[in-house]
Parts: sequence; C-alpha cells; structure tokens
Amino acid sequence: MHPKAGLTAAAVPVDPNEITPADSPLRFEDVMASPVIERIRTPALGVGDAALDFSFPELDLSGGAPRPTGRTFHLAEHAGLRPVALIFGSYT
Amino acid sequence: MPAIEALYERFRDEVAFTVVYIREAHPEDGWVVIDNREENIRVFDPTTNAERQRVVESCALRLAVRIPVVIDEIDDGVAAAYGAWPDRLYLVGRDGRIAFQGGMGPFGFLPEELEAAIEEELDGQSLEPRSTLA
Repeated sequence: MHPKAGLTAAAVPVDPNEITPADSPLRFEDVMASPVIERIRTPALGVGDAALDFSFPELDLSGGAPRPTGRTFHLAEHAGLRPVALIFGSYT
Repeated sequence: MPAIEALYERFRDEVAFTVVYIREAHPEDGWVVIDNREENIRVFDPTTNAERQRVVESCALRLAVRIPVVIDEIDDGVAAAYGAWPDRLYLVGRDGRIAFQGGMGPFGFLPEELEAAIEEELDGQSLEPRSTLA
C-alpha cells in the first residue's frame, strides 16, 4: 500500500518533487500528463452508480506469503447481502 | 494499512473487504519517491499478469494484510472504472451501487471516511427490505 496512505491533507507536501530523487525516470508532472495514468486515476463511476462487477481469484497474504484461498471474489455475489469495502492500492 | 485493518476487524462480519492490487504507484521505471528508496522498496512496473502476480508474491511479507487480496489484470480494467490509481477507497452498498467514493490517494485515502460510510450503510440496513437473492 502506498507509503502515504492515510496521511491527512495537512501533510501534503507543497511540491511533489520534493519527495522525488534526482534519478527518478519520471517526475510528478510527467505522471500526471500520462494518458495511461489519466485513464486509471479518473473514476468512470460515481456515488449512486451501479458498481462495475469484477471477479478474480482471492489470495490470503496474512501469513506473509501469498496463498490462494480457493475462493473467487465476485463483487456481484454480495449484492443484496452485505456492503463491500474495496481498498485499491499497490506496493509502492 | 493499520487503520484499514482495524476497520476490517471491526466490520468483517457485516461487510466484505477486499484489497485490489493495481498498477504500481511509484515503480523504479516511473515516478520514484524517496521514502521507498529509504525502505529499499524497488519494484518495476509489471507488464504481464504473471509479473503482476510475482510482485504481489514478493511484497506479501511486507504487506502481510489480513484482508483478502485480488489482483487487477494488466489491462487495468477495474482500476480504470474505479479511477483507483494510486490508491482509493470505495464502499459498494447492499444494493450494488456505489455508496462511498473516497478521494484520490494518497492524500484522499482516508479510512475515517470509509468508516463513516460503513456506519451509515449499516445504520440504514434495517430500513431496507431484505433481499430475496439466494
């Protein structure tokens, strides 16, 4: 999960490039200008919209090594039964 | 992730939680950040589903999350629909509609907002007819 996840707005650096090492291939402005990133940082859905269904095999990382649970997470299967919290993120 | 894990422990009997692994935020071949360098976190952006799986495997020990994890495919189809990069929180209501959409991470990634949304969703639960779905 992102190292800054959970920080408050007060902790936002004034200049994102203050946290960028000199040898970084890209800088903040490069990433924000990337069409690839634009596509995945801009929601196509909003509050009240039907959630996009998806289905992927589920992993258990709780032991420090990935272990297939044998289950498939299928968002639509929860409809009518329980809310679903989705936590999107990556390693870096 | 401690705050999210705390929510998971509090609500896991009433709410399904899933971590969706998506495209890396700060890969070595992209926008690198100093914090990751200092923690010796160096990941190149996967270009195939198999590579993405290997990154999850390699970072599992450090992540060690209790919440089940799924991996978005390399076409970023789910991340694109949800505007999920670099990280973002959502709550899908029992009606299958988006009940809460968090802000763009990292600074809009606020577990307390998700907590409030869960509480509101669960508070309203008894007012809604129960599903007849099997």
